[in-house]
Formats: sequence, C-alpha cells, structure tokens
Amino acid sequence: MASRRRTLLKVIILGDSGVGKTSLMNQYVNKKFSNQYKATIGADFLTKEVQFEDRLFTLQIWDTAGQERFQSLGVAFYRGADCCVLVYDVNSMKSFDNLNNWREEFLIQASPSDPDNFPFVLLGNKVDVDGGNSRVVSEKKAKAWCASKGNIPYFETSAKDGINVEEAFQCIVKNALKNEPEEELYMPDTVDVVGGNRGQGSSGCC
Amino acid sequence: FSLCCRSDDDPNVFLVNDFEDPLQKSLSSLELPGVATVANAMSRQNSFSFTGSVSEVRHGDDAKYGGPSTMSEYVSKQRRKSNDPGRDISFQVLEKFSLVTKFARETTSSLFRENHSSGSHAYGRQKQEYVLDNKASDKYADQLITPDDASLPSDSVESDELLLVWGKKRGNPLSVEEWRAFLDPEGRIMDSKALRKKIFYGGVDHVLRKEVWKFLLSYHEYDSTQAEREYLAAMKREEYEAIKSQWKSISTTQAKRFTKFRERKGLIDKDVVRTDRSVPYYEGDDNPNVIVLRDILVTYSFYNFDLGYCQGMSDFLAPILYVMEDESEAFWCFASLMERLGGNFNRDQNGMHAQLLGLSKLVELLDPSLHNYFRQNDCLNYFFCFRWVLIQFKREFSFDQIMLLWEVLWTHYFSEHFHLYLCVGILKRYRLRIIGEGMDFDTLLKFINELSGQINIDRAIQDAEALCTIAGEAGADCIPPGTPPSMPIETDGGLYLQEDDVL
Repeated sequence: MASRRRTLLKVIILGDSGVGKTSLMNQYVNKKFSNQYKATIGADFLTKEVQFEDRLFTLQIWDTAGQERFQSLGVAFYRGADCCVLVYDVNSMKSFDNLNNWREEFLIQASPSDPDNFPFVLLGNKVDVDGGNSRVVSEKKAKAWCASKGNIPYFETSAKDGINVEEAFQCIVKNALKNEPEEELYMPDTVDVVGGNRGQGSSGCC
Repeated sequence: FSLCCRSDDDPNVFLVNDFEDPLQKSLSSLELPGVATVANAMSRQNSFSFTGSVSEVRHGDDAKYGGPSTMSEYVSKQRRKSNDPGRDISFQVLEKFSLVTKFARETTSSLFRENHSSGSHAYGRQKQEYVLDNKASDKYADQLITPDDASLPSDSVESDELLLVWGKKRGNPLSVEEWRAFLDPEGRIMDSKALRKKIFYGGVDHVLRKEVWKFLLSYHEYDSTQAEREYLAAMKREEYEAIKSQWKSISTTQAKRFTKFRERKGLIDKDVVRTDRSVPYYEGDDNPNVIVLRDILVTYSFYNFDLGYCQGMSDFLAPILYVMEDESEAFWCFASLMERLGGNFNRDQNGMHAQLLGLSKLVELLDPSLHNYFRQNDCLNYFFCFRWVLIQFKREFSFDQIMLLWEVLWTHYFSEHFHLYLCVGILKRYRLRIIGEGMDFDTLLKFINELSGQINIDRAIQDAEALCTIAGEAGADCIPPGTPPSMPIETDGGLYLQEDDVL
C-alpha cells in the first residue's frame, strides 16, 4: 500500500570547519575520498536512494559551511530536516566543545515541532589520523555527552578510509524516520506514508 | 500602446514603434551577418516560447542548459543614456510585454513541452524589434550584437535552448601597447574611465595584470606617478613586515594563552590547503605559495582584527597572490579589496543580506514573473545565490576565467554592483527551466550549484551589461547605500560588529 511510495528524508550535517562534513557525505554517497575538497561555501546537498524496512527513500544529505559566521543561513537550509548529524574531529577538542553550540543553533533555526525528541546522531571523525595518536577526545567523553543529550547515537568514523560511514548513515536513516508521524514534513509526498512500522529508536545504533 | 505594423521585408514579422525614421529604415535593410543568423535561426525554430526569445547559438558546449529569456525586458537594450527619450518608449513597451509575460507564466509549463507550437503575434513583433534594434545599434558602434557563428545545437537534449544575446561583443584584452598609451611620461593614467571601459569589454592581458590590478583594486591611485608608486610600494612593504612580525613573534607559550589567535590561525591553516590546489601555482605538498597564502591571511587578521578571517577570503586571495607574485603587494591589494567586500564576511552577514536583497529587487524590476515565481515558492531570500555573491563567482568559473571576470567587475564601469546583474542575467537564462520544472528552494539551490563550470562567461557579462543598461537608475535604486562592494558607511561603533564568543 502506501509503503511503496518514495519518500524524502532530509538530513543536515553540522560541525566545525574542517571536521570532514563534505568528506563524510561524499564517502557515503559516492564511495570516494579526496583530499582536494574546497571549503564549503553556503550549502549543498547530495541525494542517495536507500532502502529501509522494505521501503525506498531518497536521502537528501545537506552539507553546510562550518564557520560559525555563516550560521544565520541555517534558517533556510535546516527547515524540514528529519535528522541532524553532528560531526566533530576526534583530534580537535575545540570541535567537540562546539557541539553544544551546533545542536542548540540547529534547534533554534530549524525549530522542529518536538525539539526534545528531535533525532541527532553524533560522528567522531578522522579516527584514522596518525594511527589514533593525535586523538584528544576519548570515546568515553563523547559517549558521556551523547548520554547527557538524551542518548544520541554515536559512531567513530573515518571518511578517508570509509570506516563506519555506511553503518552511521543506516542509523541516520532509521533515526530520521523515528519521529515521522509527528514531524511537520517538508515534502508533500512524505506525508501519511508511515504507519506503525517505524524504527526502534536509537538504542540499536550504538 | 506601441505602434505595430507588418514588415515589408518579411511578412512574418511585425514592427514595433517603426517610426519611419529614414536612418533606421535604411539600417534595417542592411544585411548584417550576425543579425541574419539570428533571424534565420528564429524562422527555423518557429515559435518556442511565449516569452519571446531570440534563438541564440551556443559557444561550444560550455552552457549546459538554457532557456529563453524574456524578450520584453530587453527592448530598450541599445539605449545606454538614461536621458534618451527612446528609453521611455521602451519602458512603455516593456510594460505591455509584462502582460504577455504574465500570461506566459500561466502557460509556461505546457509551452515548455510544446516547443514547436505555432508562433504568436506577440512573439513576432518582439522578434522584429530585436532585429531592428540590433541593426540600428551597429551605427552607434558602441553596442554590437554578437554575431554568433556557431550552428544551432542539432540533436542535443537542449533543443529548447534558445537564448537571447546582445550587448557589446567582448573585445580583446588590454595589450601592452594599449596600456602604454594610457600612461603619461610620469606614469599617470590619463583617462581612467577609458581604461576601465577597455578592461570592462576585454579584460587585461595576463602579463599586465600585476600592474593593472593594483589600480583596479585601488592600491594605486590612477593619477599617481610611477615614482610615487614605487615610493608607496617601499613604504607599504615595511608596513606589511611590521604587521606580520606582530604575530610571527608570538611564542608557543604566548599562543597557549591566546585562544583567538590559535583558532584563527587554525582555521586559516585548514583553508589554505584546500584553496585552488589544482592550480599549478598552489599544487603539491609543502608548496611555499600555500605558506605565503597563509601568512597573508594571518597578517590580515591582525591588520583588520575586527573582521578577522572568514571562509571565502582565501578564495579571493589566491588569484591575487598568483598575479602579484609578491607577498606585500598581494597583501595590500587584498586589503584594498576587503575595504569594499569586508561586509561579505562580517559576523552579522549584513553585507550579504544587503546584496541578496538588492538582487531580489533587481529581479523584481527586470523579470517580474520570475520574481513572482520565487515569491510563490518561498525563494525570496536568494540564498541559492549565496556562493555566487560571497566570493563573486569564484567557484563557478575556472581560475583563468575568474581573473577575467573579476577585473571586469573591478572596473565598476557600468555599476559597482555589476555582479548582481550577472546573477540576474544567469537566472534569466535559466528561467524557463526553473519555472517549467517547478523548482522548489532545494532543487533550485542544487541546480545553481551544479551550474558551476557550465556558465558561458562572455555571454553572462553581455547579458549583465544589457540588464544594467535597461535597469538604469531604477536598478541603482534597488541597491541600498553601502552595499558591498560600495564603500561601507562608517559608524562610531566601527565597521565590523563584534561578538566576543564568535571567532
């Protein structure tokens, strides 16, 4: 029945400049890594067809500029998001410390209908760098932060080596569907699609 | 109402405002190759759109898509002087045609699929007006239609690619001989307006860029002598070194207690290694030019501590350093450019908002139906043009092309805000696709981003010139005072809003 219809899922990737947002998106969608990416100006997105529980979705992944000065653009880009992916660099404490800021700014600008239950997913990227020797944010610390924000699912990734990227995005899709019935959906054809067959929440992701 | 009658030369076309001016009559009977091509192409295509476009032939394959532009807004195209009485007539015609455009909007989607439907009278008379104007304009020698010599795309998927072109044909770059002729014996530039005009229409030969850009960027005054400039350069070199030494002397222990410096430098370090690395001048590991790029940007963040560093600045600096091949001179040229474009990078983004607002007003003026479409689809924030405006099309063109485009923009010959007319022109080129495909904000943003590398630079400049001429003072009125790259309006509180917690 309705489950045959294609649905759009909008996902926003946020995080400090240079943490690897563009790389993660390209690794997931195109299975490619380049160290020649330019700093993202404004915003862009890629789409990918994904299957989840026998349903086909178009995942629209938004990549945004990482410098805080550009946050005022968020109003236009964040609206209608189904999930927000926060990214930090495990080798940069500053990028981790800024997660609160990114999360809060997203909730203000996207103004989702149920901010307390809006799905976030956290990615700690660049675990490949220097064999892990330059790492400054521990997994424990990251998980503690996730727990304090209502059990946000967490993945440690390497966009360069493709580590955990696929797994992370599967979780992102699942979480994007979490609030589906309640969400004020952006695309008209995403309305009324899902019945009770939604995801199990974030617990399965970590 | 405008006068409309059937042409004697071609019964399929109608003349608008055919005043039986003997000069114009004779001009219209001239056989001009460019015009003939356009006219023939139109007959072959018959009618393709209610918005009445002139089929235009593509230069190679650098334009991926194309849609007809609204003819109606173009009727006054050749009349450059704002006090030209013909201009008023043109605007009346424009007004009438806006009704046609309005109707067209409602039928666009169906027409979009029926390119070969029969022509309309409205279309025919627009066509004739166009041809007439072009022929007449040749006499003015200032405005020429581009005689496109390529053939129509034959079997391409963009068979509906029927574009309009006019505006003076792009010329040759300023040559060494021509440049010398602009200088008096002491090295002053005698006629800066003529120089800027020359550069506007053809750019600058690359060997001259190092010299000429310094004037365009206001690092040098046009009426300065060679000796004065040499003296200034020496002074400025010392000044640059002094500013640079301010941060070069920060020790590691001091940096540990200087978060803002560390973070700014970190941000710059991240960006310079991903700025134009495919250009040979910047490619490869441990490229010393990348270090210079970094040093200039960190030095600038000390020179203008209030503005600091913002992403996009490295995009501006890279071509400037490439041209100057000198750290101090590149710094001062960049600093001059930032005097005008600092507002793009300000924390409150006021410069960007002012430009996007101006762009919105310009589209409203020059293409009301497209404006309405954007309004109905919640696209009036024009954020889909953000990248175009922030770094003046840097990501949309090749490195070589951007040097040409920027020197054209920096002449401020037609308008300080010529880049906004470029935006309007490009949007108009694709209006039929945008409206016909019913693009929403997301789709539009994606579409605009993917135009990167697909825009014909010469044609974009010509379109913008045309729009700039049509808009005249009404266009200038769309843009609030102090909008970048106009010089900012200074206030007591300083130019750049400060927020302590924001980098």
